[in-house]
Amino acid sequence: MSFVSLRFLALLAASLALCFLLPKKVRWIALLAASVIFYAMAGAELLVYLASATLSTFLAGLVIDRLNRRRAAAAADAKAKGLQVTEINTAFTRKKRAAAAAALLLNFGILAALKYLDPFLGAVEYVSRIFGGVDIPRFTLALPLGISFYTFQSASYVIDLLREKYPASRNILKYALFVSYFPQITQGPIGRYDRLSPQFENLPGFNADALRNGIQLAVWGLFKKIVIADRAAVIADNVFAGYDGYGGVIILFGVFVYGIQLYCDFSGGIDMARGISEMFGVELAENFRRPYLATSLADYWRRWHITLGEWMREYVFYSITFSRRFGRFSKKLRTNLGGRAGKVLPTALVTFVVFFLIGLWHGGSSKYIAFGLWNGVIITFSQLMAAPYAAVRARLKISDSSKLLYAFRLLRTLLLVTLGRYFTRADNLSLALGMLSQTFAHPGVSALSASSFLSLGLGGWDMGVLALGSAVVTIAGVYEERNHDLRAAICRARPVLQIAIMLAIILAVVFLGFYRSGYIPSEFIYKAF
Amino acid sequence: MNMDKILEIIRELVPGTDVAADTLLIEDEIIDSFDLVALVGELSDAFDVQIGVESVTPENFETPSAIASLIERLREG
Amino acid sequence: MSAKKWLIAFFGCVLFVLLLIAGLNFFVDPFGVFGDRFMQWYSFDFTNNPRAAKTAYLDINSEQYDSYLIGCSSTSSFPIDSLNEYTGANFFNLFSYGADTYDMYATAMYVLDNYNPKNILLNLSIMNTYYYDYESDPLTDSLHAKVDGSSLLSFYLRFLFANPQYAFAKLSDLREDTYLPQTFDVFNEESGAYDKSVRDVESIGNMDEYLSAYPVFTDYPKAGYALKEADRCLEAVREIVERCERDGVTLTVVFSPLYYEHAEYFDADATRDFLARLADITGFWDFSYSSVSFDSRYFYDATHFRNSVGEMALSRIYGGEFYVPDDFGFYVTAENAEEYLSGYRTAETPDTGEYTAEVPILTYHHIAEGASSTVTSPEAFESHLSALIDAGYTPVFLSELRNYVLYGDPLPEKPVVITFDDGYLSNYEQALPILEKYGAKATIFVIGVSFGSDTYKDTGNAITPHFGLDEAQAMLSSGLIEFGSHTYDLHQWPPFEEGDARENLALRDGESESDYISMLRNDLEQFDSEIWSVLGGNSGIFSYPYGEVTTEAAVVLSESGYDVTVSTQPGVNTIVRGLPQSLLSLNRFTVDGSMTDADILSLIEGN
Repeated sequence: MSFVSLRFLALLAASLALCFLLPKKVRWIALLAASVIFYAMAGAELLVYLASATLSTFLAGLVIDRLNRRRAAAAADAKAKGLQVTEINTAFTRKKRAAAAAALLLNFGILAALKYLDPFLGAVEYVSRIFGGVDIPRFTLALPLGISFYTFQSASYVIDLLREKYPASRNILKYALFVSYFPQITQGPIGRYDRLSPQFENLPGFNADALRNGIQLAVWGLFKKIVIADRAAVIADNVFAGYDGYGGVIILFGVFVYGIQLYCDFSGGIDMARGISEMFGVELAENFRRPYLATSLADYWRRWHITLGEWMREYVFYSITFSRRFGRFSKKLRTNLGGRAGKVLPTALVTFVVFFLIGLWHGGSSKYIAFGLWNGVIITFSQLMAAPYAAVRARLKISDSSKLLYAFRLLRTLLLVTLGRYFTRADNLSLALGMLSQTFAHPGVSALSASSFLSLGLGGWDMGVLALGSAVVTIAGVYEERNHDLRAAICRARPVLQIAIMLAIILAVVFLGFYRSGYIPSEFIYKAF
Repeated sequence: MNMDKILEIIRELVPGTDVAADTLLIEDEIIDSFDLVALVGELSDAFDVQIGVESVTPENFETPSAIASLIERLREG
Repeated sequence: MSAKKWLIAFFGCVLFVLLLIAGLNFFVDPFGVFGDRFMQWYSFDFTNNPRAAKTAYLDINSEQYDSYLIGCSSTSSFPIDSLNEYTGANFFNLFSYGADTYDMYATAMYVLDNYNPKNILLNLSIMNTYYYDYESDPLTDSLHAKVDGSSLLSFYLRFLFANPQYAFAKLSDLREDTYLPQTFDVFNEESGAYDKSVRDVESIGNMDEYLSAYPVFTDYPKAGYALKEADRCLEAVREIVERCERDGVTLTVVFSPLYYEHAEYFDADATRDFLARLADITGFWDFSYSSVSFDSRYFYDATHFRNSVGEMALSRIYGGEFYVPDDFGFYVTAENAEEYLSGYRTAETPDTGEYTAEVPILTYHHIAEGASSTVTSPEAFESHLSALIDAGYTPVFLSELRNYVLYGDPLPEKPVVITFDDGYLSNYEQALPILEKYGAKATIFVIGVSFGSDTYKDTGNAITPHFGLDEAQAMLSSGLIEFGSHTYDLHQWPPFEEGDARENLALRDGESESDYISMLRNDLEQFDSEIWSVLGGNSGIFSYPYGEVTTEAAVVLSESGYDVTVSTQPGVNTIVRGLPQSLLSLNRFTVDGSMTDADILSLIEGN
């Protein structure tokens, strides 16, 4: 169910009221009830998937937790007797890993089956056709709401327990709330058990500040989503639907606008999720930190979809790089290659894996391999070039804090990010490559005019709204990038100004957002009758 | 002794640097993230310990002596 | 501002904005669901959502009506005035465009439940066997909640919070509103039917010209339809029939006329089967497939028959005088269904000669010695006339063309119409004797202001003398002359005018539509009161000065009872029985005094 619906508004109001009325100890039940209802509204039968993920990871958690405690006791015992603990640890680690692996395989298996089996079968079919093979039966199952998010979230719980980060949950209902928490289940941010569960235990009830902050954030997110992103989508859809008629500059513009769409839609949704959660007094992790103000591609990935990036770093990147096997492998590479390359390359390979997985997260398709390669190559290249680049700067006497350099880095990163979007948005790899080559081979600068921008599906008025909205978001971003707290600043403003801002955003959301579409001009109403 | 072996591993990883037991490895940018990855691998091999993600923190790798005490802890549980 | 105050301000702002939208939608009422009490622009409301707006309109105006037409958009084409005349009832056309069978059923039940109607005319279209209740836009296509029984609260909330652009559009369209219907107000609010005033004054005649104006008929979209909803359609009809019987309501069921290509998308056997089952439920008038189906000129577009075809259908049902082809319309009952349907859809493309006629019209002005575009000598005129008669032509009145088209009266084999413009005395003194000699008929177009005058009005300049009342009456009693209007004073002669001369009906620069229309009406009224009042009433025949035709003028003339109009465009006319528009803006060949007999004959025979 979308956040932008009357039914959701009713659910939100009811669960807020319930949460404010209930005594502190049981407030979390209001959230659990709201989460279950929210999920059931998307399709009650899909609750089975959610329940199986919850139950399996909860049970695995209990098993691992018990092993953790037994290991600690055994290690303490051995230490008291002056014996080595390494062997004891190794023995327990094997058992713990088995329990974790069972739960993770089950859950990632379901995820893979639902999300990737069909594209995989498609690929198999494609290959088998080349060799004159048989048709492969294809099927698509309904994808449970938020399966990627709750799978990753519950997986992190299991791995954290494996790493003995915290004791396991003893209450399956409270744990279920962590897995199914409704503000974040559809699009994140991906939460962590140790950050969320204490907050669920200590829900503040009615808190005017939290409610105000939550509303502000949610409305701001709504503004980004329905005023900006929904307009930008028209242009992006047009350009990606068929790029043949467009010159390179227009294509690049279209992909850039797609970037605006993606950011405003995704971060807008996250803002709404965080805002809604904040109304209950639960702070969700930050997922975006002004990614378009990044100075390098690596920096961008630390600012974009942060919770996914952190998840990948913590549970994939580190798991690989700090494993014994990888240690041996990287040593071999180091001794054989030597120098900086020998040092960087092993990690670079893992970087590729991570970006491939991030690509895969978005869906199963060959274009994501290209997407992973693109990001991996550039980040690796920039790591390799960091030292020579610094040397060049020193020789040219360009200060590291030069504004010009900063601007150059911003634009360069923006360009790299935009080029990467060719892969994620185009329908397939060959289309993405075709668009890329068109962009640079036929920029079509000479044919450019105001009307070429207006031929992308948005009229002058909507174009203006899109530009103005993007400007507002950019200004807000730059202000916060300079370490200012925009919300605090607004709260300090004079009441009249605050009400004016409030009214302006409400009017924008209502008239430029809600009522943007669904209007049929009379010549179309009556047409064909 | 552990410390000698640790210092030797670090010197091998970052040739041409003078490292002592109390050298600030991360703060003084003696090792970067790539070195850290390599270092973890070398240490686990050399001391036959499992250095998990949870142990790879700035505090544990602040100085060679911090690393030594980490290894000590991991060996003794 | 404290957080609490902020929250109060926030919810206050939200409430304010909601009230703003609701207020706008309530007062402007672009869908008419709140009764449109402030703007009362129902033709606009009907256009936006005919279903809901008509229901709300009836809430207020139901006492004006006692009978209802129900069905999809083709239902619009049964002319209400004729229907009222035939039945003595007051019909309201409750049709809505795109109406599916459920819309039709629910509307009928609503009317039966609430308005105790005398008559219901239920127009079934073949599409009713295809769509039962298809998904539609909640604002523009939805039924009123009172009709479909859904929640009134959610219905009114939906329209209270409808996209404000509809309200804005209504306000801005109000400024653009004109006398003629536009895309935003295609309805006539009193009858509930489409306002076809413009489409119905289009001049239609020649088939090739028609097809090039409406290429849809040459490239009719190919699609296959099944009668997949026939069962539910019949069930709906059965319920309506039973209910009408119980309530003593006169129900007339019509299966509406179809363009043949449209009809043929539906399997013939399945259609026959459907009609047989329909006959078991109720007797009904079948107009679906006849000679009319084959002539695209009888259709506005491929799925909508013309008002004049509706006129034919009513004439068949109620035994009127309006022309009806023999094979058009049959009352099917359970008893005769089998026999009738055995011949259903076997008709072949009819011979157009049976219902169309080619008619040339000649224009003369002054008959006197000399030869110019407006002067023909008596000798030349007589020679022309005798040549025509020798060539087999029979001069007829324009009113005879009307009788042919409207009532199916016969015309001679080779009809020709002789007309005189302006009303010169020479028409009486020179032309009449020649006409009498040959027993030939002619139509004279009189300019009202110069009737009986030999000086220009006001300025007194001498002009060619015009005949007056005495001569006119003598001509009428000869039985060879009929009169038409050439305007009262909209054919002015600039050299003799003091101000800006109005030479023809063209709209002047900067002239407002309403000024123009009232100017036209005044002129027509003056002609009525000074000329028609003494010449036996309005003949309904009109000649456009200099052949200058405007849409507004065509509409005003039609409203004022002029149904035969002529222009100066050269060409032979094709007139079509049952198609009154074939009498509009008729082509005429202007005869130059220097023309020989052969010139005239080659002119009208097109070689």
